[in-house]
Amino acid sequence: MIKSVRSVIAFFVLCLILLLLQSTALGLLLPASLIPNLLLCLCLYLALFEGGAIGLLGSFIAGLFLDLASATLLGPWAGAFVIIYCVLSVLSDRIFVESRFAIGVIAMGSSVAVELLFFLLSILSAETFFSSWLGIVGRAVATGIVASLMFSVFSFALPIRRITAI
Amino acid sequence: MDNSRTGKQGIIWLGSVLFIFALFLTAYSSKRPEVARSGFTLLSRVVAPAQSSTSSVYSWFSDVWNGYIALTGVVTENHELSKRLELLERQNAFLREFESQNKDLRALLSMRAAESLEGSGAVVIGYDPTSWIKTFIINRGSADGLVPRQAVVQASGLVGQVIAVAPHSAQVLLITDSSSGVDALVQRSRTRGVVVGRGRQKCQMLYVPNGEDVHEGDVIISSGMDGIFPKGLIIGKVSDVGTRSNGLFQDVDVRPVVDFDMLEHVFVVSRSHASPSDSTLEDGLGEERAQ
Repeated sequence: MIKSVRSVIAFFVLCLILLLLQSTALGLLLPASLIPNLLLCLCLYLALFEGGAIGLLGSFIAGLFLDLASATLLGPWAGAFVIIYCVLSVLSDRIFVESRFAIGVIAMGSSVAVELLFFLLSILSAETFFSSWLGIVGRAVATGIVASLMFSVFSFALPIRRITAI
Repeated sequence: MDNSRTGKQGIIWLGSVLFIFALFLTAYSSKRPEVARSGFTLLSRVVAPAQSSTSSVYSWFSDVWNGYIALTGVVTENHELSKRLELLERQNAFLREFESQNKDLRALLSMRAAESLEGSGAVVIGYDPTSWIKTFIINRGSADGLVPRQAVVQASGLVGQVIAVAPHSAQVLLITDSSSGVDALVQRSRTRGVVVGRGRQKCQMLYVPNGEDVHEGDVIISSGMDGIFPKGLIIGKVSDVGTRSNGLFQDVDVRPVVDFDMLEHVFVVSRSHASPSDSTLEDGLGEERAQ
């Protein structure tokens, strides 16, 4: 019981730290089109290592943190994270997650997919989407690069033993 | 294997429920924006102090680097010249605005008492974490008297408006966001339109009828008619004018004068409907003389 309460607190603190890093520290150092989506990395980590209902709920909450930080719409990021989580957790058995390269590629693909889903869910104009394509690619590359590093941090903060079906 | 399949089906079911819930939240918060804003207020209570500290630490390191390590003299001089240019541009716009206003008012034989801009300075402490929504966070909030729908400006021109406030921070929507709209005028020809955001460093002036006198390089200013932005603030310059053969309106692209990537200090205007007044101009000229 205490352990699970500790995990929940650790999860929320981690979400806040990632949001702070993404919105302030990295925002001051890097151009907006190169800021990696750290909360998406957390969602990917949960999908590939936890893969269950708790991880799904965690991904939903991580997405909700991004929605709350934007102060405009609640739900688009949370919905997009849920879709990404479901797809990856279904495919997780077929992914060799020990490979940094594989994680990077998955993170890049997921970043593009999650931004496309966000665009569809938040009813932005197509012009806005197409004017941002360079940023989408930049953020995908940045997310891909930092994903495996973030996985090491997450495995320390939220240790999960991966269960694979043989 | 069966257990694994059952588990995955369970995830898909739960995922569907959460996704539908997210859709419901999106629809609900788009109809009632105050829900998202109160969520932001709650989150800000936790995040804003840390954002403020991070920003201060960054600012300190940045000042040390720029002021002492990296070409001290050149940086300082460049900074001063940029400030002087901004000031001159602002004065120039004010003077043009006054010339035009004067002509109209003399013609009408009436004079309206102009109000001066009042408000408070603020420091940018954070940005939208995803950059889809063009917003940033400032270190002033409801404790400093800020309320939603206050205009945010910089010396060079209009920046945006406050959309959500927490006790010690506030979210500012930039004029480049697609959901932002500013009632505007072409300074030279007084043609009216609505300036909406079109993403990074891009705006568009809508509802400018075909045949209206708008040219590339024209200065676009706020009209003060929307009740949020004071009259006469520079929004940007016309970068392109296109006409559609089958349309009623012209496509007027506007390039904002404010560099949104370099925002550090902004000014939150406390009174709406404020217009550039004699006192504001004199303040500017006084500052110029002092320099």
